[in-house]
Parts: sequence; structure tokens; C-alpha cells
Amino acid sequence: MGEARAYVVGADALSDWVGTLLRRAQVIAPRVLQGSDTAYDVVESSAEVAWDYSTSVSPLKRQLLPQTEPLFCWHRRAGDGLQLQPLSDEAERIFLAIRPCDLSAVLFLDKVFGRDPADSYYLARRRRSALIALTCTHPGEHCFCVCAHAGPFLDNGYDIQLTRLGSEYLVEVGSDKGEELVRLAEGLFSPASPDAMEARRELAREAEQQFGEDRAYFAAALRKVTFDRVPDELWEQMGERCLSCGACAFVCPTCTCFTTADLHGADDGVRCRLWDSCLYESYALEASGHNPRAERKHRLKARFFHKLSYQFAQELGSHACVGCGRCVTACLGRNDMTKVTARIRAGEL
Amino acid sequence: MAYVMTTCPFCGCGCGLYLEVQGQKVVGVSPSADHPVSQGRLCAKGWHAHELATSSRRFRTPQVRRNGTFQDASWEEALDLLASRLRGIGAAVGVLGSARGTNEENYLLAKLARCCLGTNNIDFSDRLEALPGLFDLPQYRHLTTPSLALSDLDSADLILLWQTDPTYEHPAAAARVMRAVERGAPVLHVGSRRGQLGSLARHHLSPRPRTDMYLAYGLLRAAFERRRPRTPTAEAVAASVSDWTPERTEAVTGVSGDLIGKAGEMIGRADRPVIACAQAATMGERSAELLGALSALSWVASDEAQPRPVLLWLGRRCNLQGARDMGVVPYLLTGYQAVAEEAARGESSRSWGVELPAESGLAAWDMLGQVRGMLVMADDPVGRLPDAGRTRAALEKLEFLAVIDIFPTATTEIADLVLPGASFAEKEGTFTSADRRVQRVRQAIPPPGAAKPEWKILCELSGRLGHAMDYDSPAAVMAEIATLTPGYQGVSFAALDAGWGSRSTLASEVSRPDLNGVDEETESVLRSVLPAVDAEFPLVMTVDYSRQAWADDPMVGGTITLRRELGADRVPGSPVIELSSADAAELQLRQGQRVRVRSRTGEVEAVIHASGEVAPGTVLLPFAMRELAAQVMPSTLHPESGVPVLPPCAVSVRKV
Repeated sequence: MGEARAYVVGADALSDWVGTLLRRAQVIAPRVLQGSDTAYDVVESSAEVAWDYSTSVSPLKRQLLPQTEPLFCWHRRAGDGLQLQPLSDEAERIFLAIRPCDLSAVLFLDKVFGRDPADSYYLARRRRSALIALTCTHPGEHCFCVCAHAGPFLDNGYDIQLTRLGSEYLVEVGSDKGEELVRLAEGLFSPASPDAMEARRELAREAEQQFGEDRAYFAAALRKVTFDRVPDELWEQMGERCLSCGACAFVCPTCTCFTTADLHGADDGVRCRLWDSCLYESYALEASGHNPRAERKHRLKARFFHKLSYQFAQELGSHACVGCGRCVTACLGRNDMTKVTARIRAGEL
Repeated sequence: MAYVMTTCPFCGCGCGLYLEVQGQKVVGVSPSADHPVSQGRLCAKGWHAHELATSSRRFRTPQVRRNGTFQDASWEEALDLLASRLRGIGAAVGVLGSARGTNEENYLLAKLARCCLGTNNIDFSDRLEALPGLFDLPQYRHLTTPSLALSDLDSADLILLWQTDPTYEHPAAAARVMRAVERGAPVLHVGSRRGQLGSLARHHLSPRPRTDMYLAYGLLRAAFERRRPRTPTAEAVAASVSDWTPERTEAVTGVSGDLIGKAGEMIGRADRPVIACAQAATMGERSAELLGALSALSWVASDEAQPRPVLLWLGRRCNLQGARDMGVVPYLLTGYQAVAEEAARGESSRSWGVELPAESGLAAWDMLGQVRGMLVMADDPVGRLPDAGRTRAALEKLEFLAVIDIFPTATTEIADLVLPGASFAEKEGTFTSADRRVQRVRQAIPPPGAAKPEWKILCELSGRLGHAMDYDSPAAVMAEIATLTPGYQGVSFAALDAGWGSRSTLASEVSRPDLNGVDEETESVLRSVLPAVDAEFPLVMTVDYSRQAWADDPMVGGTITLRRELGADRVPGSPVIELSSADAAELQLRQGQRVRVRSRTGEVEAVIHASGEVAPGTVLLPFAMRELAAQVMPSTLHPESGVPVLPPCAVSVRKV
């Protein structure tokens, strides 16, 4: 990657550029579903892109690690035995206007799935994708990315980062892949002035001041979780609030638990990877019938150890939370990252 | 990819979720942050609802039994056969609808029974499973058709959970209770089992099995101590429970008088109390009296002549309420209009163009042995009616048994004809939630193989029965429902699609309870209600309706992850009975040990789970194990309906 490059583009010209991107690859962008619900979804035109959304109902993980992911299929024919056929997803994708927290989470997933043995399904999909972030000038109600250093603006990691500056967008290019996408419609872009860069820095400072009440105390939690200084009673009390719904894992952009299952019949079928959750009672159940995490408190402890301990953070570069705030909304029992880290820090419920 | 907003097909909460569609497959679920019921939350059932549609267990073609085995058949062949058999059987037929079917399907099925088959023998097993009493009668209906909504838990200044554990039964309600705890609203928990919410509650009250009604009387009296009655009705209600002092209530229920006083004080202070209850509250022999006593707390909280309702009874399944609303009841037309009433019958007759039978039909339980053939839609009488052995034997004797369903059940196993229906992801329609919210079910993918949506199957069948029901869509069915059903006026797909659904206006006013039997002597009350415990049978066994609430559900059984987490995979070969750690220690029983549970009428082998969740003296057996329970618990016929129920009984527990 060369040195940082930045451009500006008018809002109308941006639409034209999106049109260009649509001709080049599948474009996944925030789209309004019903009410104020927004999801990352395939868009067919730039008019479908929701530029003013807050948080999508599901993280970008859904696109790279689908909830149901076919791995291979089989056919059994009389006299022909069992035929196995690997399945792969060859689509080129551009993820447009994704939030910095979700993009940061993808960089985290890259490390998780890049470890030996590398996950070829994830990495193949990832290789064929470009990440275009949209910075958050107005953080959402439950956002706390600022605590996780995963937003509201990114310094690197993106192919392109967009920031709305009045009637224009600042286009920061972070990779050759990003530069290539800009060059598809070179005439639409002009170099960013120092004023534009200063305006972006000012917006980032303002955005950081706008976060709501939800905070995550990662430093204290990391210390206590790593050295097992969280009282057992606290895990027990939090366990009383857990309904084992799995939502924390499913809405979390950095969670990667999965299981595999065979769908359809005996003669024709497909082996799929399915999202799973470490909060489920049977997740850690062993063939002998022994369950090392039979109680909710043990599962919660295991989850937050994986999320927050130094052992994992060291291996993967950070704790496993980007502060998207989805668990604050999704947890039935209020055991989201902000509450759990606050309770761990205080040592009490 | 596409996201299709629909309604969760599992419990009665009515959460909204998006099905994620890729090609012709549903591949995932996303929550809806904006949905007024779920507000961005889902339980495990909702998160895996899409797996229901992709299950390899689905029926894909019509199956006709020939020489004892099922063979594939064409729709023409299958429907011709069904029509000819139904014509041959005539009015001696039983028809079962479904708490997991849509309103439109249930309406069409009831119409088909009444118009094409000329019978009021229309019912559904889940109605009797949850409501063995006569709760669809006008005087009782308000007790189980809540005026309150789940959202009333958000503004409640006191929540009383009565023998329900919403963490298993209604997670969307549990989430609201947890938030109430967080904002400091007092929560009281009454239950045989403490459970998670019992631990979070201010007080957990554990009455002896079968004494709930008396605890309700005691709490009512204690609440009136805190807030004196100020209207004549309130005075009359207070007077009827004046004998139930904390001391006397303690003597009967085993709950300390001190705790009763404290709980009553908290209830008496509340202006907006909500009493949440579910299946356990309606399963007793005197459940109408229990619910009447609980609803009488309205007169504590309010001075109005027509007080604010306080009772929130929540049905288990997604459309239990809707199927009742649609007249899938042997004595009711849609909207609870009695078939015996000429005016109501006349309106439906005119609309349907057929003279309707005026006599009440047979309830599902009474159909056994009295009908010659049955048509069952998405119901499983063998799995759901109280006595599987008797039900199976009766169904095996039928001249013809046809089942429309998506999965194999204990009933399809013995059917003569199985027609493959569509899952919730494959059809249009509506469900009515436990709190009366009418919401859309939307098609995301086509049904598998040759399967068809039930409304189409019923329309095609009706033509062959000589009274064609001709609709081009479920929306057209709802248009007709709206004209004939009190409470559903104005409901249309267009109106529902414009928002998140709307509540039916079927709630009835709180009626003054008839509190009976309250002036008996304490001793005679004790003798009449408590199981006779003695040295040989020192413990009392009762059914736990909450835990493993979904273990035997066919939809859970057909869903990969849920079968592992909640379903058959979780249920060992023997029933797991739960008893207190203190009792286990005294009986010298280890965790997980095999035991023999004996009563005066029978015995069963079980595995024990000892915990601090259950009060000493009580043994709990999950409802999903009711077939085994019936081997040890003598079933009694419900005094009003004649449906078998399982009252608590005295047992002994010994090592095998």
C-alpha cells in the first residue's frame, strides 16, 4: 500500500460511482427493511442504499460466515457409490457503507480464520470482497465502539472509508484494492483539500463526544478475567439472568462458534456449517454424557473468558468486542458486554 | 438475498423476525429492533426457526397407506380418496384444527367441518391440553383471553408470576420481567419450582401442591389489609376471603404467614399490578376458581366499578388464541359466538350459504370412540391429548384417519392418508398471539416437493365435498373472517402490512369472581385438597409445566439445533424427576441415581435430579413426561369437561 490517498466526491457523483460498482460486483449495503430496521443486503441500485442508518440488525459476519453455509454435497446413486462434491462461493462482493465497528470485526475474523488450519471457506469469500466503510458522525443509542478502538472513524484497515462532509463525501483510500475501485470512475473524484481533512478530524472529535450511556470497561475486565479475579457468585448471579438464547453469539460480529449438520435426505444432501452458541447447554456436551459447562454460570464464564482474557487478546490482537452495541439490544437477560464489564469492574451485580 | 418479516411460529409471545432467504432456501434469522413485541430480542427458538423449513423430516408428497405401508400418491388421487371417505362417513366425523396453524387455515377448516361435513365436531388438542376446563364459555373467557398485553409488564409496578417460568415458556415475557427487576419494580414468584425468576424475585412463595387457590385467597385478604375496599364490589370480594388470615393460609398452603403478609402488603401498594400465569394455572380441577381469585386482585388495585384487569394468562403455542378465536371449538362459531344462538348461526349461515348444525359438537377428547373418521390438520391428538394409549387405540379403530401436517407425529404414524402441508415460511396468513396481537405470517420460499399450503388443500377438498370454498389467497379469507368475527372487524392484510399488526378487540370485561368454598373449616379444606401423605408415601408428586416445556413439540423435533437444545435429544429414556436436595440426602440418593417412584395406584422408574429449586416434600415431573406420569399419578376427570387431568398424589421414592 502506498501513502494515504484521499479524495472528495459530490453526493450525486457518489451515486454514479455506486452504479459503476454495481456493474463490477455484487454490492452489499445497508438497506431499510421495515420501520427503522436496516440490514446489510444485496442492493440493485444506489437509491436502495440507506446512508443514514444507525446499526444494521445483523453484523457483516452474516455475509462472510453465513448462518447456514453449505460446505459440500453428496449424491448416492445405485452402483455408483457415494459422490462428494465440494461447494464454494465464487461471488465478487463489495461491502458498501458498512460501519467501522463491523469492518473492525472483519479484520478480527481474518485473524481467527487465518490461524492454522486456515478456514478456506471464509478466506475465499474474504479474498473476493472489498470493504468500504462509512464513518459514524452520530453514534447509535447503544454504541460503544469508542471504548473498543473500533470506531466511530477508522485510521486504517479499510479499502475505502467514506465520511459525509455536507453535500460531499470524503473518500479515504486505504489499499490498492480501494484505489482500483476509485479508478473505475476516476473523473468523479477530486483530491481532498487540507480543509476537508481537517473537517473530517473535527467530525471524528465531535462524534467521540456523542456516545451515550453504554460503556464497556475493557481494561478492568481484561485484568480480572485473565487472572480469574471475578467472584464465582458474580458469575452465578449473571447466570440467573441468562436464558441461553444464543443471541449474544449470533449478533456479535466477532463470535465464530459453529456446528455442522447434514441437511436433506440420505441419498442427496448437503453438509452445512450452522451458527452455534457457547451459551447453549449442549454446545460443550461430550459423547460420554459429561458436560463441562452444564450450568449457565460456567458457560457465561467461558464466553467472557474467550471474549476478554489476555491469552486470546494476545493471540488475536485485541479483545473480542468492537462495541457495536447489538448485544445490548439482543440479550434477553441484560448480560451484554457493557453490563458484564461494569459488574466485573465493580465486583458486584 | 432477501429478508422477509414474519412471526415466530413457536410460542404465544408473537415475536417478529426476518427470515433470510437465498434462492429458494431460508438460511437464517435476523431479529427486528423495531418490532413492538420482540424489540430486537429472540430466544433460541426464534433464532433457529428457519431450520424448521429445511428439515429433512418434512413430508414432500401425499402418502396413502396401502397394505399397511405408506405409498406416494398424486394430489388428485389423495384428495379424491379423502373426499369419498369423508362423504361415506358423513356427520359422524371429527375434525381437528391447530394451535400452530394460521387463523385463515383454522377458519377454513371450521367452515369446512360445518358447511361441507355438517358437523360441529371441530376442536384442537392443544385447546384441551392447555385448557381442560371450560374457559371458552362467556363467564370464564376473560380469564384466559387477556385484556393486558406483554407490554403492560413494562409499566407494571408489581409483577406476580404464578406457577409459570417464562424463561422456558415465554422468553419475551421473561426479558420484560428481568427489566422490571432492573428498574426496581417488585416481582413476586409463586411456584413449585424456584427457577431463575424466582431467584431474581423479591419473594418466592412455594405453596404445597394443590393449595394454590387458598394461597390466592390469603394474598387477596392480605392485600385488602393494606388497601381497604372502597366500593361495594370490593367490599364483597374482601368479605368472601375474610377467613383467610395469614395463619390459616399458612396452615393450608405451608407458606409462612409472615411471607403472605409481606407479599400481600406489596400487592396492596400496587396501582398497576400484572399477574402473569400460563398452562399450570389452567390445569387444576378448580382452575377457574384460582384464576377468578387472582383476577379479583383488580378490586384491590382499583376503585373503579369496572376495574383495570390484572391477569395475563399466556397460551403456549403461537396460535392457540387464534384457533379459539376462529371457532375451532365444538360449541362456538368465530369470535366466541355460541352455535346454539340462532342470530350468530344465522349470520354465518347467510354468509356461507348453508344451514348450520345448531347442536354443540364433540370436544376432541369426546370424539374418541364416538366418531367413525377424522380429519386432522397440523394437530397430533396421540401426542397431545391426555392419554396417548387410549387416544391411539381409538384412532386405530377409525374407518379413516387423514392428517395434514409437515412432519411425522405419533398421529401420522397411524394415519391412512397424510397430506404434506406448508411450514410457516412457505405460506401467507396470520397468527394471533397470546395477548391477542394479530400479526402476519409471510411466505419466504415455496413448500418442499409437492407440499401445499393448508388453505389450498382445504379449498380443493371442499369442492370435492360439494360446497366449494373458493378463495384466491389467505388475504381473501381474512376479509371474510373480518366480516363475521367480533373482535376482528377492520383486520385486513393491507392494514396489518402497513405496521406491525394490531390487537383483536375480543377481550371481555373483568367479571366479579365467584369465590366458592371459602368458609369451610381449615381441617376439612386440608383433608379435601391435600394428597394423603403418610409414612409409606411421604412425598407429593406434581407436574411441572414449565421445564422441558418444548421437549415433545413436533416443531422442535424437526429443527436440528432445537432438538439438541430443547427437544427429544435432551430427554433421556427415563423421566427425570426433581426433588429437594434435603429430601435426596434423607433418602440417601445420589444425583442422577435411578429410583422407583411408587404411588398407591402405580409405579414408574425415573432418574433423580436433586436441587435447591424445589421445596422439601415435593417431587416434580415434567409435563413432557406425562405419559409416564400417568403410570403413577391416578388421572382424574376434570369435573366440568370430563378431560383427564393429573392432580398431585402421594408417592415414595426409593433406589432401584
